[in-house]
Amino acid sequence: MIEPTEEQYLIIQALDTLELLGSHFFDGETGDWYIQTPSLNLPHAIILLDGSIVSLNWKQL
Amino acid sequence: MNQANEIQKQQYQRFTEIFEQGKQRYIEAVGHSKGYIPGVKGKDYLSDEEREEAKQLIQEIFEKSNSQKPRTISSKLSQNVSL
Repeated sequence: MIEPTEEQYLIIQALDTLELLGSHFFDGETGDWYIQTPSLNLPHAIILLDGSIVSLNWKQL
Repeated sequence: MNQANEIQKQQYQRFTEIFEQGKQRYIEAVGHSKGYIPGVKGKDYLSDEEREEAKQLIQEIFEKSNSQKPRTISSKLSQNVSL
């Protein structure tokens, strides 16, 4: 099982504090942290273990 | 732009249900939602079964929908998926 990294926690905490964090889930198998935000540019994304963010290009859920 | 099909919408709805269930339990136990980390045992108030189900759902929903797959996502689940 992979544990979340400090980088991931920092981003999650920032989004949460700003009330920009919707549903989210940390995948302990891959280390991917799926997030949903109110952003029109990035409604669904993954925060990778190193803190980089990958867009999921998914707009119609 | 991707369009979710009905199965994916239902899967996402079920994922959201599990997310909210854990959140409510966490709030009842701790008093606030700060520090609720769904997916991490001990920080999500989900059963092992719920956590596993949520993980499977989220992996399936996003793997199947992506033309550009995030590089870190394992692809082994896609073998079990038929759309």
